[in-house]
Amino acid sequence: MVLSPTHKAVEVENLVKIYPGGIKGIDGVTFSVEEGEIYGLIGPNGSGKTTTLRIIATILKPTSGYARVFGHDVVKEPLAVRRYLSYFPEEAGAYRDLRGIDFIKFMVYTRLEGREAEEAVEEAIRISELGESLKQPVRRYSKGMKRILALSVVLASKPRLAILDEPTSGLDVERSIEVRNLIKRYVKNYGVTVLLSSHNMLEVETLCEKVAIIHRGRIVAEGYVDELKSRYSAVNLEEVFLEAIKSPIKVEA
Amino acid sequence: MGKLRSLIWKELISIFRNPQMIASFVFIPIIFVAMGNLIEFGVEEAAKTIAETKIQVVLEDTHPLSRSIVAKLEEAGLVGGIHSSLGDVGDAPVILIIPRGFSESVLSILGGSQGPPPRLEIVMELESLSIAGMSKLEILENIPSIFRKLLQETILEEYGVNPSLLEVEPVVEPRVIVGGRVLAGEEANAIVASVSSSFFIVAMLMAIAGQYGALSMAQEKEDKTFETLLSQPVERVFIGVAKVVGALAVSIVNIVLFGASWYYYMSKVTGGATGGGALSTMIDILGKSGIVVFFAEALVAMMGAAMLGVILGGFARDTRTAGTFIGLIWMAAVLSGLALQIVGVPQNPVAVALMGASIILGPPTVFGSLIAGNNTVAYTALAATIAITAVILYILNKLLNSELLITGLGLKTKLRFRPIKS
Repeated sequence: MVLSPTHKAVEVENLVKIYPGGIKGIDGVTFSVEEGEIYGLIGPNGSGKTTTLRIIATILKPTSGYARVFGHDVVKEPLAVRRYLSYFPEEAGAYRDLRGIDFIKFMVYTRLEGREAEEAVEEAIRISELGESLKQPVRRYSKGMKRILALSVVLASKPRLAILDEPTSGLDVERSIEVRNLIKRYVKNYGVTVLLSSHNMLEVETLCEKVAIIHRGRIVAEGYVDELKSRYSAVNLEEVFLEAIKSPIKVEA
Repeated sequence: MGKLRSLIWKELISIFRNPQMIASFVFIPIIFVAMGNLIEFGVEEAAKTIAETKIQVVLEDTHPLSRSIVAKLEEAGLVGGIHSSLGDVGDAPVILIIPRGFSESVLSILGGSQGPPPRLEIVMELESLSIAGMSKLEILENIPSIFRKLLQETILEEYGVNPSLLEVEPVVEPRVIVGGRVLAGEEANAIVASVSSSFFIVAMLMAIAGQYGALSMAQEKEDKTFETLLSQPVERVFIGVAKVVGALAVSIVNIVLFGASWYYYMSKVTGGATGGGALSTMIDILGKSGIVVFFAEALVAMMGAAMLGVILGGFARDTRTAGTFIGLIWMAAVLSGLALQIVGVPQNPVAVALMGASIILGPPTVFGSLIAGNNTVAYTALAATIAITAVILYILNKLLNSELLITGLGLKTKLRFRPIKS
């Protein structure tokens, strides 16, 4: 995948999504993610994080506005976009009748082939740390095991852009820390760009370089974590969030 | 009691506020009303056809006795035409042949000699291999008894002899033409029973394909794998194609099991060997090209049914709601099979095209038509099935590339439930 260096990993401009039935999911979201960055979308439940990520992942189509991934429009060139990204949905699961190892192989081989795929399978096995459980059918897995299985495939396939919707949801504290470290390692070692969403402000603060706070379908604040803290005279992102939703105007120019 | 009421309330509200469930409720009476009317129409038409069926008489025996009997048949309004040879008849549903020497045989028995018994032939062509069509076979039994009665009357009137005191019993040789093949009456019965049963079974196979298609989509949603799958770098239509292949595999396994079970069943209901006999006769009637056409139709229709299932399953939010769609698919299949069993395959080109386009009724229509020798009808139904399957594939592709699979149609129910007071 040879890319023009001028393209940003993600460019989102005035994105609006109105669901059937007239429910507004997002209302004019604009932000961009540089290649190699870990970018966090934070906001409460129902603020529009998942809708935004689903549009970028070509699952949903925007009502207006546009989104591009490495210069490719998500509506006009969805297949090209999907070649660059790997999406980890908020409720990612796995096929109940497949064994863990089969799931890894299935997901990897729909994305990669040959030696690259074989290596990705080995890596996913390693990342998941599920050991002998990989030979068991997924229906015997706990929710946390299923999520780690799905996440291992996303990371092991080393996409240019990993879209992670609440990546540590459903995981215990220890596993959550491991996953965060894993994400950081993949960004550092393989140059993977990460766009993640979370309502866990602490997680985003420790993981992301840049964040956007989304509230009621709009971005109310955006910038580097330290910059936002000083802008709002806050000690952490939680305080930034509380301040930002009171006066939603301090979006970085 | 309050807790139980609360639990029941939750169940009811889950059902009656689910738009997909309500849609299924609407379809149930529609399916039954449509099928009921179709069956009623078919049965009435079949009864009318049987009542209006006239016998074409081939009077090879020119003796006055035979002429008198035929005249009596004519008076009773049963005769459509009298011919001197079989070649003059052309297409006719029922032909009664009074062979040369019939009267002589009767008269020699009356005279006290021990010659061969008088012989009659009845030829009947079956176009519709349905239960209604089967009732036509009753004519095979009715004609000889009417003829016997008229023979006795004539002998009494013209020769003053009471033939019931003598053994003047004509031997009747019934022949039934099915798909250009001449079959004995019993063999024809077995064929018609086998074919009409197959309508039911083949229609159900379509339901199995649809069922698997719907479930596989609903299971993606329930397993929370759907969004991951949709974000993979593959053409979305491939996802649909893979599901159709899965549905075909399930259906083919079922075909084998159904086929073996059906063979066993038919050998029981048609009295031992006739089950196998009917099967081999059907294969013989179909011929190589017929078998190819039927399997092509079955394959295309199963693909269409599976795709329809995938589409319906795509709108189901989980396997529970998919189950309501599956129930409808099964109901439609069972009722359609039943309707076809009773009514038979239509001959009208528009009706045949509609049968083919219905997917479920396509294979039974083609099968029944090929067995009855109506190849044009079979090809029309096949063409219609192929055309509608192509349309369904187009819709499936559009659906897989749209967001409706995630957002749904946004239907809202306006039913209001009063919350239970705790």
